[in-house]
Amino acid sequence: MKKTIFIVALLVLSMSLFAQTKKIQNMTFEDINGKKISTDKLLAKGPIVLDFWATFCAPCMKSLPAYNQLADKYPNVTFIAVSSDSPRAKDKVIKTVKSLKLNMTTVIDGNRSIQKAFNVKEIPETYLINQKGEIVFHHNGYVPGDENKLATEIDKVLKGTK
Amino acid sequence: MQLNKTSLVFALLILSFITLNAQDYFSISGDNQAKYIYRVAEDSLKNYFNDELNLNVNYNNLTFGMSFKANLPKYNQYEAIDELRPSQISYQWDERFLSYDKDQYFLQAGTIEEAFGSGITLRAWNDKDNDRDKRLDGALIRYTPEYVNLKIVYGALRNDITEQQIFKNDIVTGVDAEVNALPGLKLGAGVTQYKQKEATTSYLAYNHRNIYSGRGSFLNNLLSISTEYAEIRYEHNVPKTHRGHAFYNSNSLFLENITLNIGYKKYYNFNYNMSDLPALNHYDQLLSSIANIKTEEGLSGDISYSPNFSNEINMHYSEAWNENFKIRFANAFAEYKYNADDYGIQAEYEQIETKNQPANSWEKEMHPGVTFDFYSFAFPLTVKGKWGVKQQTHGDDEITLQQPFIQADIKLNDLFAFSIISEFEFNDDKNETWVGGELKANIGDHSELKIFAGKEKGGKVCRNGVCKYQTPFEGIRLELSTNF
Repeated sequence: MKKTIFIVALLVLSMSLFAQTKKIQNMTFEDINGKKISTDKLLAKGPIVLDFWATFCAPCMKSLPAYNQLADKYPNVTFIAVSSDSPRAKDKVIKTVKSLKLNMTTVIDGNRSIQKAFNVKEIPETYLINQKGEIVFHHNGYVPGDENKLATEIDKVLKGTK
Repeated sequence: MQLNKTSLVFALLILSFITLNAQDYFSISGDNQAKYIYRVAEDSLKNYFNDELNLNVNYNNLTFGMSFKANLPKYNQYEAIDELRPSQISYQWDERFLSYDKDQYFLQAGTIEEAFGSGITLRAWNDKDNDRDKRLDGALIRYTPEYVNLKIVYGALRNDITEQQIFKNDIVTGVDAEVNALPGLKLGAGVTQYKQKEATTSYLAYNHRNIYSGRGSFLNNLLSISTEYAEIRYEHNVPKTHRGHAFYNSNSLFLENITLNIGYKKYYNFNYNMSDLPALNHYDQLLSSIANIKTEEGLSGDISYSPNFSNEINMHYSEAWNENFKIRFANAFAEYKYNADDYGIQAEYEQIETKNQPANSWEKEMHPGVTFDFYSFAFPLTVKGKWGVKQQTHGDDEITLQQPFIQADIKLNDLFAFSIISEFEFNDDKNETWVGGELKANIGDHSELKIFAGKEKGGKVCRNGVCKYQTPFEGIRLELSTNF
């Protein structure tokens, strides 16, 4: 019975907290070119879009080119493509990124530290983070047209309304 | 009274978390997945409830992370429960860690996932595909100034159990350093010691294995070169003649619209539990997963041609073989994608061939497939069809299986999406069908409800715009996910 109460309490806790605005902790990671990236430094320049993807994920192969077009449209926003592929697929990730001609910063999250920080369970998963470090938009999955929703949210962030 | 105390403690905890969460230096994030399963099986328990709570509590540079699972009882497609017993109900801390992350320093204690290089030397992770938990309980240090990545790992395997062997409490100690020597050029080296617990008749002993590795990679706008070599030495209780090595190389050339890649691998006696060897084929399969072999050698080639945003062609061919060429694996893949403004077409063909002469077996699979995307409809629609043919020869027995597959995904609006998948496997003696449908509903900005009804084969499943790992299933499943 006590254990049941424990589970219920945890559930209530999770449900009661979801209304809070989630703020990200500073994270440092390395892109495929070996360049160190700190989220705090990036946020000083502008908002960040994080797109979690993998080479085996068919919807991701559609979302990446679409978000890459947004990256060209919004130069003040840093678009980061976080690959959840295993480290052994690093060369496959590089091939994919180059053949899709992605301008987005690409990171291979081999030890799943970024995925854990964002609690990513399914891909593609997209986060928009404003300059205060708050997650202001979160989208799970991709069907063509979803990039328009992201663009609308980016516009709101750039206008300072979100 | 005890009940009231417990309730009070949790109520206070919840209130404190909510209050503290409003502070800048303190934050809580995570998700909860509650799952109700109705099982379709005779003489078995029908109702199952599982809950998984993942929580990250951040305070300045400190993070406490945990994953808690409750199984009431745990659902297993292959294990029917005739009668519910208390022992079948389980609660487990799947993951607990405390980490400190500041500037160039990252320290973590608890459950650890980490990889050195491409994972040949060390990869500690939860391998859901093969149901192997290779995570460690221990400590991790990362030191990452601008041009250096240094990692130190020490830990014991949590609970890696296979049908053949128990790897629980095997000890891993590893150091790995990588230097960005020149723009685009990275050089790395690592040493890992793996102490494998072995039960003897009279006492417990550990087999020591040391794994030494070196790697280099170069990447610029024109080229990508990646090479890794590792050597495994058995120090105790095993003859030194059992040494092994692994070599992996991949080279890509990026031209205007064409990407070319060639790869080579040679793994000799490198059957080490914490290694994740690159498969070097599109199907992502190692020869060692087909047969018990000492040497695995292979070549692969890829060409991608993308003249414009609308057209893309990808082709792949790879072969792998053992030391006497009697066990072989070949994989061919070709794909064409066409994207227009209001529709998309993708045609693909994959062929897999395995030959195992000592076992007198041969297997060939052919999977042609086509996918249509219609964006211009009131409801965006994706239809995917595949027809697999699997031919197996074991001695004098010949089996041919037809494997049609059809999937339709429709997005009704921003709130609802629906997917239906039908898979079949049949020949003169066998006829198996998997048909299932999933409705996905977004509830507010932070919650999502998925209702699945039917039967599914399992594996990496992509539907309703997302991909995730699914275990084989038959029945009705309700999943409520909430993130916060």
